[in-house]
This record gives sequence, structure tokens and C-alpha cells, in this order.
Amino acid sequence: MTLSDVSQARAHTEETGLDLDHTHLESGTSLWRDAWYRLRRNRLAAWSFSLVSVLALVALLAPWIVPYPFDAIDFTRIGQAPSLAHWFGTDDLGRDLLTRTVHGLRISFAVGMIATCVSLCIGVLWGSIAGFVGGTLDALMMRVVDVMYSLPYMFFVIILMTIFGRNILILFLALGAVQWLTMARIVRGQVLSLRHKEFVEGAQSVGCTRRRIIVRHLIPNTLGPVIIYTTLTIPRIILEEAFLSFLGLGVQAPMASLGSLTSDGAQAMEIYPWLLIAPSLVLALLLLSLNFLGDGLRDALDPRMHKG
Amino acid sequence: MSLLTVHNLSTHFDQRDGRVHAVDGVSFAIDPGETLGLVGESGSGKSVLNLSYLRLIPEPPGVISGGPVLFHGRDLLHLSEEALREIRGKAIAMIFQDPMTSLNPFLTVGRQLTEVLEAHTTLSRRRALCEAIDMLDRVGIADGARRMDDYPHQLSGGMRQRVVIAMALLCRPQLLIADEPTTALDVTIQAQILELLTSLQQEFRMAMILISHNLGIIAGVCDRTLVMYAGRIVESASTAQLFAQPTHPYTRALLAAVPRIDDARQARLASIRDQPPDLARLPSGCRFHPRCDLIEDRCRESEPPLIDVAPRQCAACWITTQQPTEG
Amino acid sequence: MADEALITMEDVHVHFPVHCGVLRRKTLGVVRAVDGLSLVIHRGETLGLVGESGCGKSTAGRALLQLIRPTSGRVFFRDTPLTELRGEGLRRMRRHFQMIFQDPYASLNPRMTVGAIIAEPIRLHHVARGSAVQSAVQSLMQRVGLNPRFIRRYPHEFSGGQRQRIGIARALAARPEFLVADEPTSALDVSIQAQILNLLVDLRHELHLTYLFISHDLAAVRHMSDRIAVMYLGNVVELAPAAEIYAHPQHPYTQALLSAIPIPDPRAEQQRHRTVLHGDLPSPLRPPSGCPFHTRCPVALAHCATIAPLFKEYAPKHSAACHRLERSPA
Repeated sequence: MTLSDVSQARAHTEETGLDLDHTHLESGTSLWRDAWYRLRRNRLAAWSFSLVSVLALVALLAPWIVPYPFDAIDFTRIGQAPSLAHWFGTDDLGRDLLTRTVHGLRISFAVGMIATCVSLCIGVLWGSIAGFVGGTLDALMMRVVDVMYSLPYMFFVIILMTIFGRNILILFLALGAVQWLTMARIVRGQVLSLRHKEFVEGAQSVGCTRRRIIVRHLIPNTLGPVIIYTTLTIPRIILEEAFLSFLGLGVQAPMASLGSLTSDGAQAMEIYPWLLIAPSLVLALLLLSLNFLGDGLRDALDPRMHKG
Repeated sequence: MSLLTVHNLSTHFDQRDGRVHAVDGVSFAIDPGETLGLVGESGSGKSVLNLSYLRLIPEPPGVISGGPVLFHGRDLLHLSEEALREIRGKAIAMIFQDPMTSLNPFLTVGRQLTEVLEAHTTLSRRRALCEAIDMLDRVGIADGARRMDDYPHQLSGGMRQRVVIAMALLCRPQLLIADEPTTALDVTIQAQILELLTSLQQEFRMAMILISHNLGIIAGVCDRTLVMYAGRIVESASTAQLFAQPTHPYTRALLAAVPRIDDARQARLASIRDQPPDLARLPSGCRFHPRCDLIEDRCRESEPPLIDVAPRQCAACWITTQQPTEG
Repeated sequence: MADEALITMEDVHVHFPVHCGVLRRKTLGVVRAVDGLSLVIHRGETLGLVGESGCGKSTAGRALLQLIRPTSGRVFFRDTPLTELRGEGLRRMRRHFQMIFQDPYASLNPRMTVGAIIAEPIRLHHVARGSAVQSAVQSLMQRVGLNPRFIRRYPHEFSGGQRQRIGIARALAARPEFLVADEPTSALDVSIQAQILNLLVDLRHELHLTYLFISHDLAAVRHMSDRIAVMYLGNVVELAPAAEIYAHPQHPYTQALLSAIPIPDPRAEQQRHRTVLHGDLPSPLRPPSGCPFHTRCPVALAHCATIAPLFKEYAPKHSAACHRLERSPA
């Protein structure tokens, strides 16, 4: 109560004093720009952001920057330790590990991104319809979510994978399809709380159409939590894909993800330790920086959590 | 002999974009049994002031300096945390605007009341229970014995504030600090609570500091009134004197800015222009000068001290405090 | 003033059902927020609507503007029955009546610039087009006391008083004739309240506006209004010209309400006789039988508990609902 007293006084910086020169328009700072500024000032998040960007770029350009084809087997170079020619060493089939790690990164990224997109689409749509329409439809839709929540979803994914075979597209969809539940809940909560805000009533009272209220007033205000949750979903899905790969249900050889590389590395750990170290290090680095970025975004986008 | 003497107390908060001077060199005293009003707008420092000498400000970011603050001859600013806790809640009690800040939603009213007695007295459980029911009766909750088993959410806003008052008075404090005790309540309930507070104050012969932005409440309840603006006391006088002959331009403007139900209707209210100052970027000289109509050069240059203008009345203004000495 | 009716509310009810159960099937009860309200607002006047929290005054204002659809009853703007309009027809009518909200922090979309907020009604109702929109926004900003240079700023960059000015500019943007001001100053500091009240008074004269001024602050209502309606538990219990209602309050609730307001003058405070009401506002979920005020009324009669009093005119332009008045007309 006391600190809010003080911060309220801090808000009183402007003066109503009019000067009539309005040729020079002062531009304001939008909450987005404010958040971007706060994110950059958070050192950990800023570093994570750069690292994620670099890794994403590497993953995107993988086929063009790696020194060898990812499935080129070379029996003359089996199990070589890291060297100038092979920075991360080679595996038991003589494939360049750097190449395979970069490709694995590409696959892991793709799984994370596509599955997150699937969960984003279903979740936002489901949640906003439930929240905006309300009533019985809302109750029904949310009960569906509750039921899905109570299923052991890893089991569910494994069943899907065994029924439809180890198809990478199915993997994307299966992972995304179980992640949308939380997103739906978050979006519904946001829409419900916003629907009764005075500014929505204000938009209605000036004569906005329903569509305009949703597009201009509701959606921009739900984006903050959605972005935060999305950045935290990507690492979770990458991790889950790694877990599936570790069980041997993930991507199929000769393709590799960071998870399957780690899995293979673990089996050969005693003979070729670098096979475990390199991909697991990259995986850990990726997950850590994505999580830090998510946390940083949460601090930057949620003004209530943020204190001066 | 004063009950509480605050001498030159300051509190600031160090924030990213500068130092916020919430309270700046405030001195006042309160006698036993007296009712002192503290008026000001949000950000004037009226709430922070009281939390400061009770050391309820989180440090950091808050920094409390100055002093001493004497209560029964002991300096509150240099007491051990344990000794201070003994004073807070026993000799000095506080009630706030929102009763739910002082009530635990998960405990019954009875449990919360007896807990206070167990913490500060050696009464037995049974005696504590009787005492609590008796206190509920005194704050106007007739069916106290039945209410003891209620949870706070089962009570109305006015009832909750009564329970909070009962809790504050259980240990017979010598000083009660009431921070906007009726702001969240409706007018008819506000009248009930104010009447209750003044009658209990006489019954228990305690001093009270009433913090409010509502000049009407201050006028009806307080013996003496301090007006705060941007962290400083700008005027201090007996309430009758303050309302009859306000000296500081801010006090005058504040009185003129409030619509009254007993006045003939005017077309416009006398408003104060602009906003209260940013406490991190205070104006030079007198803090009120950017909003004041009577300014001279020295108002911009140096800060006016509190000067006696009449017996028991002083104000901090270069212009208006001159008049009695000259004329 | 020619008493031309601008707004007519006829027997308006707003009931909120209270549900429970997993699929919301059971109805626990009905909150009668507004319960048979009839009110006429004349063109050019300011009607004050006072009452304590929970009396239904805000709901009444929203039901008038069709922001909450009344459960039953009719609302007319001039001769247009608003309660029968829907969709596009109602949306088009909205330019004639606007609202100023209580909370300047919650009533502005935090993701829109001040310019976009004020321009929205201008564009929606085709008040101006193209580059004329920006100059219209700037002149509105100037009119409500905001620096037009701040057109690209966001609401969070302004103080409470300034945000309320933004809200007023938005309400004025479609050039309405009628404004509902719902507690427009209760979230503001004393010195800022006077600025906003003065602004509303000035705008009213300049733009020939009609106001419904909703507030719990009787002093502010008295300052602003020509006529005042006092609400208790969903209905008006007394309605009279402002000076009259303060000089000769007829309903015991109005009397108690007036005597409960502190006056910023110690001498006046000491001389007052105060009627302190006992007890709390009854729950609108279970309103008392008969006269809704009988549970707290200091002068209740035996039949007050069973028979609801009629709302009748007891003096010229002065109506109230109380059995006491039937016996000894004022």
C-alpha cells in the first residue's frame, strides 16, 4: 500500500500545462516497446535471446554450412576423437558429429516450433471461443480439456506413434496436440478477465462491432501471456521429443535429433565419450537459454511481476 | 508531556530512475488522548510517515533517516526488533483502509482475536475468549459470541472494519493510528464507524492519528490537524483554526476545491491546477510553487520553514506567513 | 427549461441469475440489481443518481445505455425504443449517448495510443474522414485539457486525472447529446476531482449536453445536478430538484444519507444533528418484503414490513416512496 502510494505519485509526472505548438508530436512508448526495453536490460535474457537466435540461424542454414553430408558414412574414420577436420569427432559409422549435431538441432527446433504452432492454433482458438461465448458451451469445452488432462499423455503419444508408425509429421502433431490444453486454459482465463474490463465496455459503448472488439481490444491484450507460454512450450516439446527418441520412438535413422544423438551417445559413452558430450551439451544449452528467455519475457511482459 | 514525538524524520526510496523522497524532514508530537488529523493527497507521504517510525517500511528499498522518534522516552528508530514488536500492536495499534489487510481469510474471527491476546498478554484461553466477545460487543457487534465462529468473508465491509477495530483495541493501546479507516465504506457505514472510533477513543482514553484525504471527516473528528504536501508538513493547527483561517495556499485551495452539501451551488469549484509533483524530481524552493497563485521569486529559490502564525498554528509559506508579523 | 424528455426509462428491471453446478444448470436465486426503475431525463439537464454501493445505480446507467440488456422494461432515446433495437441499428444509435467510466486505469485499452482511442468513435460513426480525423482528435484533446502533442502516447504514460480526460475526450468524440458519467471522480485525488468536475460543467454548457451523473458522493452530485434521484436496493426512493432535496429531504433514507456526510467545517459539524443508520444494506439476493428500507428505517411503521409504498409526488416536482408521507403530507 505504501509503495503503490509512492509509485502512484511517480505516475504524476506529466503536466496538463498546454503549449499550443503541436507540430512536434511526442511519440509514446507502447507496452511492447517497454517490454522489449526491459528484456534487453535483463542480461541473462538478452544473452539467451542472442544464443537462441544464433542456434536458430545455424539450424536454418544447416544444409549449407555443415562440412559433410549428414548421412555420409566413412569407414576409414570410425570413432575419431575431436580434431581439426572433425570438430566434434566422428561416430561409430564414421559420420561427422558436428554435421549430425547441427542437423539434429534443426530437427529438434522444427519439432519444437511446429508442435508449438499446432498447440498455439488449437489452444488459442479453443480458449478464446470458450471464454468469449461462455455459458454451457464454455463449460462443455473446458470439461473436454479436463478429461484430456487426466489422460497419461506420454502414453497417448507412444500409442499414436506405434499405430501410425514413426512418421515425423505424426510426431509433430502428436506432441502439439497434447500441449494445447494449458494454452486453451490460459487464453480462456485471459479472455474471461478481459471481457469484464471497463475498456471492453468502453469499446462497446462507443459502438464497436463484436469483431472489432475481439480483434482490436481483446486479442492484443491476451498476447503477452500467450507469448510467454509459447516460449516456455518450445523447450518442453524439444525435451519431450528427446525423451521419445531416447526410448527409440523419435525420429528415424539416419535422420537424427538432439535427443536421438544423445541416446546413441549414451550407448557408446564408454568408448566414445564425445558422442554423448557434444549433442547433450548443445541440447542443454538450447533448453536453458529458451527457458531463461521465457522467464525474461514473463518479467518484461507482465507489469505486475515487474517492480521498479 | 507528549506521548509520541517525531523529530525530523525522512524516508526515501531508491529506485531505478532516482531517489523518491516520500517523507522529508517531518516533525510533530501528539499528546495522550489527543486526536491528530493528517490530511494529504496520494503521494503526500501521510501513510509512509506512520509506517516509517513503526519501521514497517521494507528496507531496502526504503531508507529511514533523521529522528529521534520518542515514545514514552524511548527512541523507536533504535529499538531492537523484538522490543518494537512489543510496542506495535500493544501500545500502538494500526487500522487500515482495507480491513482484509489485517484479517486472515482462513481463520475465524474468534481465533484471530484470541491470537492477539495470546501474543501480548498472559490471559488464559477462557479469559481471552470472554475478553474477545466483550470487545466485539463494545465495537457494536451485539451477537459477538455467534460471530466468533464466522470467517471474515462472511461479514460485510462495515462489520469487518469493526472486527479490525476490536482487534486493535484488545490490548488497550495508548495510540491508535487509523489510516483511511472509512475510505472503502459507504457514507452511512462511514458515519457508524467514525462515531464508534470517537466514542471508543474517549472510553479508552487513547490518542489517535487519523489519516484521511477527506476534509469533512477530519473536521468532524480531530482536535488538531497536519496538512501534508509532497512529503512535508505545510500547515499545522487546531482543527477549528485550520478550517476558519487556513494559512498555507495549499490548505486554502484544498478547502475550496471540495464541493460541500451545505453551500449554495457555485458554477465552478476553485481547482488546483496541474498534478502533485513527481517525488523523484521535486521542484526547487517551495514544493507547491508550480501550482500556487501567490508566487514570488524566493518561492522558487528556497524552501520555506514552518513558521508560527498564531498560537498553535504554523505554516510553511514565504508569502502568507508574513502577514501577521507585518500587520 | 422546456421539459422535453430525452431519455425515458419505463419499469426497467435488471436481474442477474446466480448459478451453481458443473454445467450451470441450477439457479440459486436472482439478484434484482435494478427492480422496476422508471425515470425521465430532460434535455439539457443533469440528473444526479446517488446511492450506496450495491444499490444498482451503475447497473441502471449501463441498462440505460444498453451495455447490459434489461431483463424487462423499456428505454427510449427521444422516441426511439433502444430496448427494441439490436445489432447494427443499436450500434448506429450509440453515437448519441456515451459513457464516462469510473476507473481511469481500467477503462482505456492499454495497447492503444491516446490518438487511436479517441479516433475510434470518430471513425466508427464517420464524424470525420482521412486527415481530418487527426485534427479532430487533437482539438478534442485540447478541449479536455490534454496536450495535443501527446497524441501518440499510451494510457500508462498519464496520471489518473489525465486518463480521465482521455476518457472524456473519447466519450465526446462522436458528438453525443447525452452522457452517463459513472463515478467519474471517485478514483481521483481531491485536487484533481475539482478539475474534472469543472471540466464536465464547462463542457455541458458549451456543447449543450445532458448528463446522468452517478455517484455515491452527495456533495459532488449536488454540485453537478439539477435534479437528484436517490436509489436504494434497485429503485428510486426520492426524486426532487437538487436544492429542494437537500433543504427538505422527505424519505428517511435520504435524510440519513445527508446527515451522514461529513462537512469540512468543524463548527457546522458540531451543530449537526446526525441520524446514524443501524445495520448494513440487505442483500439484493433476498430483498426485504414491503418497503425495502424498513429493516434500517428509524421511523418504520408496522405495515412498512408488508406493503411496499408507492412512489408519488408529494410536493411540486418532489416525489418519494414512503408510508409516512401518506399520513402527513409535507
